[in-house]
Amino acid sequence: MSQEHASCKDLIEVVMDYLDGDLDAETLEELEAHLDTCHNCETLVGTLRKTILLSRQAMGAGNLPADVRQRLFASLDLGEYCGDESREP
Amino acid sequence: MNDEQFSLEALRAGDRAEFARLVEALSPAVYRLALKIVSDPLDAEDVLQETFLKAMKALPQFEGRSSLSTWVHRIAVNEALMHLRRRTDALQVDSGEDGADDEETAQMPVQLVDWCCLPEKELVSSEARARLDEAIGRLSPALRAVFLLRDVEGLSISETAEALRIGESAVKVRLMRARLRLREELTGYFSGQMEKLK
Repeated sequence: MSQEHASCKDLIEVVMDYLDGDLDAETLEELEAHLDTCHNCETLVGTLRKTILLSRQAMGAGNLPADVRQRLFASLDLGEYCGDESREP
Repeated sequence: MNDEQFSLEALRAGDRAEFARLVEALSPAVYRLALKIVSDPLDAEDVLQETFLKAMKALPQFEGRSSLSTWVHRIAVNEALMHLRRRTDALQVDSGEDGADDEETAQMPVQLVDWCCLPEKELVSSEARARLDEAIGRLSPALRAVFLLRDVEGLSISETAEALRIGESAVKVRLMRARLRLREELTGYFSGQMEKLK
């Protein structure tokens, strides 16, 4: 991964745990010290973080289409609970 | 969503109003997940309906060992993967699923361009979104399901493992591969955008 740090490729799993907030204090400190000096790893972490954020923004929101919602409630025999949201805007 | 919002007792007893509240709360996430796994709105709607029909039938036996949300996600993923299997069986195409991705060599990052500094409007443009959609669509079902549950829907590693009935280490391996592949694809696209803006 990096010309300067031959061991960077060994850090990928640690980077994933770092993104998941799943590192113990000692490993966290070591990784952050490494990121301060290794531009490639810093770029990798930044772009991975942004990839996750963009995916969540693009796909992690949005309501059910009204017609799909209406058919869902009907299929479950819950039509009486479908309410006003089932109407098209 | 947390389970405290719902009365498990009422759900187990077949309280229809309480079940309707559960459907209301979880159906958008189930539909998004199904749509991204099966890539077809009609199939995704089938998955959505089948998921809640199965949940309704199984609720009296739900023991609460996982959260309701994780449990419903598990049903949804199983339904979606079954749809994919049926489709690939019908086409007589090898699905190349689950195990294959675990045996692949992890893809090392190749492109190390820092595109985080691009203007927000470039990062969230409809073209960028389409590239991301395509890249997620190219992931194998096994990688896609893990990525969608963990990184898009925000389940924890253990909840994702529970939903997919695989070990946490398998979740971590698949998640790493999915993230690296998507990052690589976005880096290819955003590097080009950076060149255009120079």
